[in-house]
Amino acid sequence: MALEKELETFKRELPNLLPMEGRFAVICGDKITGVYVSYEDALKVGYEKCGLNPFLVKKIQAVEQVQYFSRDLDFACRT
Amino acid sequence: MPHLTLPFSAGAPVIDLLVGVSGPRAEALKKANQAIPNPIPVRALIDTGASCTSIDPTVLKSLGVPSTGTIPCHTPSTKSGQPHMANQFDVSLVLIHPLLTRAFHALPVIESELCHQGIHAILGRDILSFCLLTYDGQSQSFSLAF
Repeated sequence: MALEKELETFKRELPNLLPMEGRFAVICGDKITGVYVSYEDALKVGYEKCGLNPFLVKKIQAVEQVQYFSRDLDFACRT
Repeated sequence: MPHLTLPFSAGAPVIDLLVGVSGPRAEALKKANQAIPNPIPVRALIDTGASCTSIDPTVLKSLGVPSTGTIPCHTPSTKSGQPHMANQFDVSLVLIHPLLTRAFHALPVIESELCHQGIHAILGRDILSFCLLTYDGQSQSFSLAF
């Protein structure tokens, strides 16, 4: 899966981030670049600081919100 | 509030949208002296059973957008408590109206294979929460106000 390193960083840092639950974290490699109120703000800063390099935007949640679909989807798998 | 009233397409509420790179990504491309891909017209099925919008990978590939997130998803085929982790992508999305369009400049979407269904997107409740949808099964038409 893409963004493996960033996801690992997020998982490791989640306990420290939980006081800011509901906000959006930007992770580039093994660093938390910042925490922002909205998805769009986080995305803006992600592109400003990481440029076109990979970065992760993740909502800070103790229990991750699941998306639901009433139809089956063929999830594409990018390698 | 602008609205569209359209007949069903193959028995379903289908609408034309424009999908492009997100506003922040467009800025980053501009800064890097790279071309900003033109928005792509797509046909989207309006689906109140979808909690978020999904886009066919051919569209995302044409736009050259990389994944910027992951999100757990449940479908009828996933086992309880074992959601599928789907890649998430940031895009812009425009609801087209002859007089007044509605643009979403930074929208997280997931990718799923939809081309074989004759559509390129599923318009989910993340967008519908900003709209008024009327589904008229008897006249085989729907209205979307936004």
